[in-house]
Amino acid sequence: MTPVKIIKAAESENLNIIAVCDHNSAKNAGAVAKAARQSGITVIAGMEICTREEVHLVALFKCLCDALEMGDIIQRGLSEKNHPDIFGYQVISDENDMVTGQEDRLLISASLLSLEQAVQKIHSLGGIAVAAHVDRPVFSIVSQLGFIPDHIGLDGIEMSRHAFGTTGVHNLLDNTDPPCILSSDAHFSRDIAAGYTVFDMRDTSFESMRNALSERKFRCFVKRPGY
Amino acid sequence: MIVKELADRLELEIHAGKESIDREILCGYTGDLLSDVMARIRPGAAWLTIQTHQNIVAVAVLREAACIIITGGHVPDKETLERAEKEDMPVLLAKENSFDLCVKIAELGIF
Repeated sequence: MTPVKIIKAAESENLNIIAVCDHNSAKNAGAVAKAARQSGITVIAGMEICTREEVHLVALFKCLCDALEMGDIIQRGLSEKNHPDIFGYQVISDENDMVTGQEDRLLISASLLSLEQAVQKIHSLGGIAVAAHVDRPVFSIVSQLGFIPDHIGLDGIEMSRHAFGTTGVHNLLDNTDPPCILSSDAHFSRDIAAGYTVFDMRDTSFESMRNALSERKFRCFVKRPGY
Repeated sequence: MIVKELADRLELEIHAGKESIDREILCGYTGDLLSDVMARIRPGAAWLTIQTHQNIVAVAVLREAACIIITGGHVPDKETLERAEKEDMPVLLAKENSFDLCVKIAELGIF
């Protein structure tokens, strides 16, 4: 996936808002936002943080600067270097899909922050914390910790399309605490918008989305069910 | 063998749940993914893990483990020890990794 390809896919899928959530890094979010300028698509700078428990936590930020600060905090705790021959290249791209650099730390490794510490840090930076793909057998809060602990202050949990065998709106997610959204967890362009959430909001601002999430004004859709 | 004897013989530090160290150890389990541990651990197990989150106490209590042994020199969260104290669940600390400790426990006749 590259910034231009991501925006093309998001446009053809008629998405209004996307979040760029690389593992433990926010260094590509700015390029995607720039690539989106002509499209009218709002790009949220985010990150899929791997906590000390190896729980994947989606962090969404109002500003790129906050996401980059979170990335710095996370990466200070990543001791392993990337070995591109084994793990692949971790490229940093510009808005024209030109590679401008590489991430030096191994981004699939776990940070030193516990789940609770990560949620606290996200909140101190004004961000939204969502437990990622809770239905998945790996790297989810449920697979790692058995159940969702009380009082950690999550703003939401995310289901993936893999939990569903049929397309359409899924109301069974309506009454969870915290609110449960559905998103694509796209790792390839073809997966973009495979599952998505429609928020009832006045505009596409971050604050409107935060409000719609906390007030549960949204519905979840599966466009292409999992396998 | 009771938890205290295991701790003494393998030089494991007891960091919580001292009231319950006379529990009998019937078997063992090693696992770090709590979803797996919840599904498979048997009652009376000495549970070896590197997971330090406080949810390990809830899982151990739920599944009636004899004790939790945190291996590899990992340090439990403060909340984990507080919760273990409250729930009377012994938490032991080992310098050895899970494999090496399993071998030693098996040599003592628990397997």
